Amino acid sequence: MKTCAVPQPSRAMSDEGQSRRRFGGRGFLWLLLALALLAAGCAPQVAAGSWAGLAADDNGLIMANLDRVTRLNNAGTARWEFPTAADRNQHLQFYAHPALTEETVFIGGFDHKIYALDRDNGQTIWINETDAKTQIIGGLAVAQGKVIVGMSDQGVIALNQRSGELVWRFSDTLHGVWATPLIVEGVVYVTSLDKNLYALDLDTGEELWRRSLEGAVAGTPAYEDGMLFVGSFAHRFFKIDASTGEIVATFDTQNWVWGGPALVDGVVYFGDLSGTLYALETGDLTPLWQRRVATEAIRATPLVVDDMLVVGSRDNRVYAVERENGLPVWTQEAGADVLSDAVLSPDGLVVVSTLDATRMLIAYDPADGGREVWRYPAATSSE
Amino acid sequence: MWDIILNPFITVLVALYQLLGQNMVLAIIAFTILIRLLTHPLTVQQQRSSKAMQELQPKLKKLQEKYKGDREKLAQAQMELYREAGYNPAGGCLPLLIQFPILIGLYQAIIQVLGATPLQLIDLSGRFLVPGLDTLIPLNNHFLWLNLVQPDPYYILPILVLVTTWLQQRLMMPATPDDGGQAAAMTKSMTTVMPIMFFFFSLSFASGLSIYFVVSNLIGIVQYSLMGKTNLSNLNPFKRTAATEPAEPDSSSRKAKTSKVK
Repeated sequence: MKTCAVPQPSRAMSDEGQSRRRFGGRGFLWLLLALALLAAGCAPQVAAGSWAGLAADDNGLIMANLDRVTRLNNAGTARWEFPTAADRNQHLQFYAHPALTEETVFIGGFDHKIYALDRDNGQTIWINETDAKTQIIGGLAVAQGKVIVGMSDQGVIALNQRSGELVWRFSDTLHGVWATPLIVEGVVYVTSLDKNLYALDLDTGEELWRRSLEGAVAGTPAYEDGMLFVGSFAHRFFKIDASTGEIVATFDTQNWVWGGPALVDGVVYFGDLSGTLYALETGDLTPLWQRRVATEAIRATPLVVDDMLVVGSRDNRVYAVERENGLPVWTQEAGADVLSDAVLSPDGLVVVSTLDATRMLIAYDPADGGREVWRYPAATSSE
Repeated sequence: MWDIILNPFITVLVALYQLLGQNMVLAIIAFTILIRLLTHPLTVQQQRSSKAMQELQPKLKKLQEKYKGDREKLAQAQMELYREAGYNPAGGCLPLLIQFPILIGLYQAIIQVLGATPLQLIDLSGRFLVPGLDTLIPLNNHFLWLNLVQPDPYYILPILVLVTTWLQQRLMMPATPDDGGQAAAMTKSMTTVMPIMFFFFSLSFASGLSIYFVVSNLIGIVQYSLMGKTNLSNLNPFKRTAATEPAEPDSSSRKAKTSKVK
């Protein structure tokens, strides 16, 4: 917004030339204005700002990524897409993790809408356009006829699973809910960027308790035997009594813990943004091992595959380590950031998503040194 | 490379947020003032250069008339004039070029710390130069009716951006006579185009950025007022703009006034 003192151009020119030059100066500014209008009006309201959400079922995978939800078969071939190419627009983005029931895919959009889609063909069953009032970043949870949705700026809502109508609203979080809620025995556990973990009654949305976890929480807790396990941006991991919200044990980490943990055989596994993987005893969070396996952030929840843990990193690689001691089993180059949770396909392949749209999904055979089996979209011959 | 500017800016902005009662709007205001203070010497240098250029205009005009049709000789004569006057043609632009990455860094820092999307937030985690500041993330992005990562739903901020940008443009517009030159036409167009452009940007940008635009404009006005560079007569709606009005007969008296101050 400042002008710059530069030598003035020579005015030794004809009147015609002068007026042309003058028009040129104004024309340039008006062109600038037109471009600004174009940028303000036509530019996407959202940039690609997240990673894919993946879910696996008997028929293959469902991926929510960028501007669409895609159903793929076990060979990585797309079966349907929502919305169809004709209905796509720049305002529709999917950051959330899809939730699956027997017949339906539930997904929240960055366009403030919640969608229920037919799992077989991607047709719309219902769309709730009015109750979110904000973007949806976290995944949805479904139980006892209710769909629980976290709002990216504040609060949680519950919708009727069949009709999409609002059942209750909880507005008391001070910041956004970016993690998929966890539902256990009629209680909804919700983590929030406001640094709290909330327990809500599934039927009414009434707050049962809340507990400060010292830092923002963006991961879904894991539940076992009446205890919740989750990490926060305070560089700390917590074990919490699910009935009272009391903190039972804590463990200090190297960096933010973003992803949720995996629980197997009395051990809790998780990663942090320093690239370190941790294995702690669920009893008192005593470390069994901790190892810096990646050079950059581990955002995702580790996937347990037999005796291995598989996890992607922001350093463009996918790592498989031994559950026993964290030693590397195999490492694969994915070619772009791997931040989303990996899933296990019905035929035993580890499927990860990258931030590169030309390699949205890569399927590795965990038993064969992480050999790449397929890629979506399919790799061209030159790759 | 860009991180050299961005990471310290983010660290300072978040530290200010903590010092100012975890109020993001106050942090943006304080941070903008801080940056403008740091770049003040560059602004002064730029203004001096601009003034020197203005004073050379009559001589330049004479040269243009003298060497009408001979661009090469005109260019040589212009360079000679600059040399004699001790004026560096790049002197006006260089401070601006130095300020530019700083202002872009400030703008980027505000976008980054607001962390509206997961990728922005994850990117933020490794940018703090002071341990412990990262635990403040995410910052409180609510202020009055505003969610600072969303555009203002009531359009109050875009209107404030429009008004303050227009004010700044008008007040800083030099009272140079309209000699039908390109610079005058450009200046006139700028006062119309820039406020409209920033108004439309503010309609879709995060309101935190609109606050930055407003604060930056207001600081700019204060800064230039203190330097005696604002021209209040430009706000008179009945007065024709400086760029279109006839040549001022008292340009020499203005000059005399300036030297008197000296």
